[in-house]
Amino acid sequence: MARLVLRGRGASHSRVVPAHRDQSEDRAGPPSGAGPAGAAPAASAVAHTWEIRLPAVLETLGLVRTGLRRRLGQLAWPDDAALDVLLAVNEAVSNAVEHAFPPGAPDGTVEIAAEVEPVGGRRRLRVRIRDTGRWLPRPVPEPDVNRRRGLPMMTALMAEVLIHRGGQAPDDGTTVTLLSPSVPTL
Amino acid sequence: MPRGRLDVVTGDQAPAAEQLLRVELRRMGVAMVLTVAGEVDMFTAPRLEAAVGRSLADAAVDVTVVDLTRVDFLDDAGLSALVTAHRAAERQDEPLRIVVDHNRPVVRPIQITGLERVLALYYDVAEALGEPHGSGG
Repeated sequence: MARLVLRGRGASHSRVVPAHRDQSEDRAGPPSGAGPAGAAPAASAVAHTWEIRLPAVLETLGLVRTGLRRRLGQLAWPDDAALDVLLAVNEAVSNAVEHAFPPGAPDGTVEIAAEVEPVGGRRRLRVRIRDTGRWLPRPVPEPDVNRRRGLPMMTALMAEVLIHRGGQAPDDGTTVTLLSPSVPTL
Repeated sequence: MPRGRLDVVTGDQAPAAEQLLRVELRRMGVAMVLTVAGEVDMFTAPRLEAAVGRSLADAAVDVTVVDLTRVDFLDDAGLSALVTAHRAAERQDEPLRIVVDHNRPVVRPIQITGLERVLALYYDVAEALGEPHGSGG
């Protein structure tokens, strides 16, 4: 069990952090160190949250985008930044749908949980995409399929991309966490 | 504070691929113009790929123009469909011209993946049709 952290926006390194950090981070609480000390209790650090659970099928992609567009509109997220979030989330959900479930596993689901976090006087989105299977990027590109841009797109669009691949337990799936670049607070 | 709300949605509520992505083919002399509208993703990209394939397979068509200015969303699967079509067109020595104008939902994914250096992009259909076959040669 390992977490792969990929820095976006041209940063060159990636790192794997020990598994024992996963539990605390996966609870998706307010970011440690965000905001002035003692200024905000945990509840007010989360301005909005949105959670959705869908079957891991192709039709899910459009439904996720429709729901996310509506939420981003409600949050008055800037158009250009909203498109980047849509593109990144769409790729993560695509990966979950495409890779997570072996053929013949009918009951797979994808869960998407999004929340707004304050960061340095601005705000950003933390979106967690969790599936119930193993997300395994294909090690070798299939000839002429040229479908290898999902992860590079996510890292180009987001400030940070974290991939937590689960262990062997049946429902210990893969979680992709996307941290958007920050945008001005309303 | 809206917190912990869980929407459970079933696949039955999803529109069909034909509703999400519409492709019109229009012959203009030796050119075929495909007007694409809607959302191109892993679900709908096969429709785009099939339409471009039909045009490329048509012996009477010398130039295929794909107009993406009315596309609202384009993902990795859509980019792959375009690259696959571009390569197929190259093998036939038949240009595939992609009209994007300033349509950001299409331009943004093309730019972040560097595919503007691969695909032949145009501002409008007239410009795409106006350029002679084999331009630059």
